[in-house]
Amino acid sequence: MFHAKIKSETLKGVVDVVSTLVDEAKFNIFSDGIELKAVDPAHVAMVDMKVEKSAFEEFSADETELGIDLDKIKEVLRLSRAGDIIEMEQDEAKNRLVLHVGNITRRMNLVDTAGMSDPKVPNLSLPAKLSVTSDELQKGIRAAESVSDHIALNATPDGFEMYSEGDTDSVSLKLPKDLLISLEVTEKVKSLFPLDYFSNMVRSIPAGSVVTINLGSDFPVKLEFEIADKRGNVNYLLAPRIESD
Amino acid sequence: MSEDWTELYRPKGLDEVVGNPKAVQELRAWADAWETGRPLKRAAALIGTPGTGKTSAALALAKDYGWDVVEMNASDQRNAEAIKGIALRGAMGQTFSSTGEYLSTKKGRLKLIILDEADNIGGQEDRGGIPAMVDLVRSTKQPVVLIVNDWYGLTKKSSVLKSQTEQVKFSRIKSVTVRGVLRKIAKDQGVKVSDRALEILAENSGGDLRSAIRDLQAVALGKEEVTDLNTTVVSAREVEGTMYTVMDDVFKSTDAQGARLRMMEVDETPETKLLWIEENLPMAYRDHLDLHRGMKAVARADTFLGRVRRRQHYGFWSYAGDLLSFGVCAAKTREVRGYLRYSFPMYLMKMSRSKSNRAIQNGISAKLGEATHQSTAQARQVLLPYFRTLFQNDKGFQLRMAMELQLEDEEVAFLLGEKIDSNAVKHLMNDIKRVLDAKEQRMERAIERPHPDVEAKAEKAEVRPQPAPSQRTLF
Repeated sequence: MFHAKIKSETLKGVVDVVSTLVDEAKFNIFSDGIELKAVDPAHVAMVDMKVEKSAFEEFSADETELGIDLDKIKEVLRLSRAGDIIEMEQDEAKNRLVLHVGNITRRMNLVDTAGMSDPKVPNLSLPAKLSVTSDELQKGIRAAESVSDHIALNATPDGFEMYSEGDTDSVSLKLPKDLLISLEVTEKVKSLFPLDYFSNMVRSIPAGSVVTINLGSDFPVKLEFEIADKRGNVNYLLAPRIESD
Repeated sequence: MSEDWTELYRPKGLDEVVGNPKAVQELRAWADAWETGRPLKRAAALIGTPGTGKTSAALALAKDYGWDVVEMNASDQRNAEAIKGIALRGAMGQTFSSTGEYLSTKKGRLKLIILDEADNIGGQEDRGGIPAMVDLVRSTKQPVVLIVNDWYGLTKKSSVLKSQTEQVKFSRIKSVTVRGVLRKIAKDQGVKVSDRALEILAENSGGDLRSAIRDLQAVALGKEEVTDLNTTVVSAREVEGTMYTVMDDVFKSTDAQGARLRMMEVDETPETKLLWIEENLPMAYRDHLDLHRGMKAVARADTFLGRVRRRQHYGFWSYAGDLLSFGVCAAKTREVRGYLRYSFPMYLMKMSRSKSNRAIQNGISAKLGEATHQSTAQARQVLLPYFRTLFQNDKGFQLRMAMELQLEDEEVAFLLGEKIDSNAVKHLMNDIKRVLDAKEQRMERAIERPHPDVEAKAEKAEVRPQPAPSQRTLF
């Protein structure tokens, strides 16, 4: 059983975070909130998201699973305005999800979750940890996009650098320690990532929020941030590019 | 419904892959090369007819070596964007497996990227799929497997795929081997299947293990015992098979009514049936008067089919069908004996081989037609041959036209008579890009100066109407 009401902008934030990586996803519903873990189809990135019950206007649920086609939710969101309340309800008999926005009712078939895996979040030891505002990350990505299709993230005890090198040009955004919110780095680390994925991830972070970046050398990056007015929490993991030999 | 047996009994490792020991060995050697570094050919093409174990071998390989699998099936969309977004992206990076494990190539944990039915990529729905696949094969940093039925068809579209892949051939699986697998499965499922039934199933499959297992499941599901009787439910696999068998009824038997009934059971349109009869009739009826009468019946049937088309009166189908079976069968006065080697209609074969070519031709003709105010058909008949000659011989014309008509890679390749990934095509497409970029910059710099546009228009006016009228007066 699942029945909830949520602000359309909150739902949009949740959907954006997930749809960056997958088109269809399995939402695990608990009595105190929802959880989602998914690996993207190319198997290079992962999302781990938790949204508390309190992020919803109303929430009552028993433990269950909902396989959802995210494009359909986006279609419903397009029908709503900011501040609208979206009511969601599981129709167990017909295996459907029913959404109400104002006077509009959308019934959507749920996706079979049998084929969807339940990934565990791997335990990675990432030596460097730093926090930065999402706006700074956005800036670095915009700079990199004109130059290359990959981006290097470097962290030293003195600061953080986003560096991108193309055939002819290169661009770098350096953030010294005083422009960062926090920095815990003992030795220099550097990893290279596909820019398109990284930028999509960063774009789905709510503006003005604080992102915690965990980094290693030639190792995945972990982006940690909050959504739904701090009542939800997201971990993105992105695998590094294989450096040419 | 219970689980699909073909999935349930997929081999769990390379040792369990049946048939094709040589192919498995080659595949192992290729995988070993990946484990110890990077092989010369980063992609392997598994080539063979359906049901010979290509996909099974690829999946078994991944299991044996502990590799993660990213699979793109024919049911997924596989245009350029999808291949770049999933296969290529996965090929360039390290891996999070579907269970959420982080796998690094440094520790020998690779990701196998499988493109199933790779020869079907690059059709109308999968535009730009071939160049994307070439890109993948060239630049991948993870092992890639292409599963291919029609290797010839695929390499015709791109020679890179031939030169840059390790080719592993899978042949049809011997009937004895198929029987062995079926027996094992039957035993495991607790169904008693008689030897004769297994034999028929195995023979029927024509070396296609998957279809043999499907057939077994169809006849055995929910039963405790399968005797020969049940097996007759399973008819021979391919459509050609049934059309092949009807040939004998029409040409050899003297029972015209029987021929009529058998023909009716074949699930084909009368058009296709007509092509079959027409193709094989001259070979079957050696007596010229018999042949004359037979062909007369075929001609009559064709007349009816023409009327069906024109008047949309499908009632005539039955006359056409009867003429083709009963009519042709009753036309002979001499007995037809001995083995006849029936062939698949040439016309259908040629049409299916030229399908992609024709689609490209039509695409170009539609664009030409629009630019010259003609129908697509007219542009193809009248304009295209000359246009193609001009295109091949005049560099300036090439560039202008490719831009003006916004020709795609494959259309340029067709016009030049080159493969889609050949240098000639690439050069031209790069030139176009350069010119367009330059133009854009010029436009940005001087919006008030309109002359680049005027230039383009002048070019247009110059070439547009010329070929068609001048050709017409020639004849």
